[in-house]
Amino acid sequence: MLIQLLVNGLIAGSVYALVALGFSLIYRSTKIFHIAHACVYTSAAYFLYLFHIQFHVGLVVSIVLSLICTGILGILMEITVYHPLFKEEASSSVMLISSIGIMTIVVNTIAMLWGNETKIIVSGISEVKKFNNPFAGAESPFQEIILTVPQLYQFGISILTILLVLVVLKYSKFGKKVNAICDNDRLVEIFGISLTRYRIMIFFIGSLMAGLGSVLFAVDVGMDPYVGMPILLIAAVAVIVGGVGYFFGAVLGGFLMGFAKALVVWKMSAKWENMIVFILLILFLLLRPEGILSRKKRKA
Amino acid sequence: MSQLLLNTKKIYNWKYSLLFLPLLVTFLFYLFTSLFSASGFGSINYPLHMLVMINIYIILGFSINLVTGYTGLLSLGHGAFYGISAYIMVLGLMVLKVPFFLALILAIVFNMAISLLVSLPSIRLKHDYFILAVIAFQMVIFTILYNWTSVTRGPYGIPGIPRPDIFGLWHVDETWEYVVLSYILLIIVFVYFAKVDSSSFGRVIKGIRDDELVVSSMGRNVNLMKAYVFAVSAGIAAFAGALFATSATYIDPTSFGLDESIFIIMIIFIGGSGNLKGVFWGALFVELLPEILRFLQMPDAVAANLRQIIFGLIIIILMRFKPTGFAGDYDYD
Repeated sequence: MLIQLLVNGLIAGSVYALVALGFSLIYRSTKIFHIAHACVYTSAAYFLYLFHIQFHVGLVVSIVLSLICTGILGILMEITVYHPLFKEEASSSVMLISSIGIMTIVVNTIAMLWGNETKIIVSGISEVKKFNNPFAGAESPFQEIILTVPQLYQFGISILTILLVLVVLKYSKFGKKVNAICDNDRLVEIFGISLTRYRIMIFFIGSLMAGLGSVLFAVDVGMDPYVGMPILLIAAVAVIVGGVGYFFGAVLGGFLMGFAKALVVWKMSAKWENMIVFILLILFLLLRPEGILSRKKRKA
Repeated sequence: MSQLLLNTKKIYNWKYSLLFLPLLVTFLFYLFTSLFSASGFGSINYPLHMLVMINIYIILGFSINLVTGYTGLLSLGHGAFYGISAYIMVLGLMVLKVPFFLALILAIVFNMAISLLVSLPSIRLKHDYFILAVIAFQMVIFTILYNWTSVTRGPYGIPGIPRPDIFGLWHVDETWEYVVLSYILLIIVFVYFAKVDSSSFGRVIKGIRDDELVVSSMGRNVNLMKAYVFAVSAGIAAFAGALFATSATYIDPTSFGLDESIFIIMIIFIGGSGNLKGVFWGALFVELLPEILRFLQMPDAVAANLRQIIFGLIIIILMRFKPTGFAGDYDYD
């Protein structure tokens, strides 16, 4: 039982890590607490619904189309709202409040267009794969770990994307510039790098990652207009718990959230699973506010 | 004593006339909609009920104004305080069977205690972390209210909350009596704020908002002040929770979620914060907009979402061009 739940936690954690990495990318480089990431996440699922169910496009093609639309949505947010504020050197509170405004608009537009009820992309019961459980005792009733095919896709695609993004951020020229922007964006501008262009790219990639996580979950369990906020909070907590100074911290935090939720389901009940995320946040803020990975900072 | 004598020279302070604003605007709205609608003059009960809700949101607006507008801490958790106090009122009135004001005091004290639970660990944190910690608190409280079914009845809600009985003399039952009760509580809150606004305490917390370092170098304990302000603000939210629980006579957790917190903070984003008048305009706006949409024959299903979309648009535009809101002092910088 425990192994099964931990595997489920690992799979959910991989998607959380994906969304958290996108959030971390935006948060670290632009210093915006991008609450509207929640509605980017939600809208990806609804784009998929629009293309696949309403326009009858094939599943893979509509996933690609919805991801592109999500990325464009992220860019639109940057161009119309954040960038003018950034040019005026608005404070982080103003950015956050604008972000709340964006989220309210997008979520309610979705609710207005598609209604409040849960929508499903793939109906019917998904195909199941069984694996041997090497840790079960001889008389344990849980000799097999049961996973659905969408879960396997979730895990595989998330892990591959996370690895790809981490490698790109670490080793490519683009990644080095992004890291430089994270450290000091004004200084980067002096070196002739167009901050405007890089911020657009960062928003595109970050939104893409949120959209990918959203699509992976939506194919499995469907969606409603309010699905984004809990995931965003998990992602934000994951970023802080993992350590804000590192991209890998977000990934680590995402997996930790997945495992923590699985343990709560095992020990207590599924209805308390969201609570553990916030209790973990409070504990970390109290005991280790710098996160699991921490960088010793010299005092300025 | 001499201070008191000096103050009495000023018999009437004009800022108190703000208190007539909700009454006046509701009356004008009633007059206007009655004149231009086919059915003519409807029941006065509906506008009176609106006035009670406006007063509740003005109280909530003041509560969050103290934290966000005066002290500069963005709080997305006031829906939780609102909810806790409503449930504590239920506990006081229906389980312990204590009088209204005793239950209110219980709710205030409980809210203040709970607020320390969230503020003490998170108040020394960086800005974004504090916001996230308060959101986390909001989600925890919502989850408890929603899932602890043996105590709160969860999503079924609690019906049949008794009407308040003031000292055995006055049984508040009619809608107009609620208007009076809500005004009494609003006046208590307003007088406190009028005092804070012109006191040294008010200037100190505004100093924390504008430059924390300066205030702490003046020898003030900034974190303690913040925790104190947060507690007082939670206590004020209890007034609104008590009014809402007894006037609606039914509560369920969905009225106290993160959406509600965002709605409450929108009052001061739109109206403006850091002074007395912004809250009035903000609360009037957020409460009257749905009525205007209804007057324009918008179907209810669309109107609920459209209202939120309008709020979102207004906030984005205000933040870009006038971050202080319509009538505020603080620009969130």
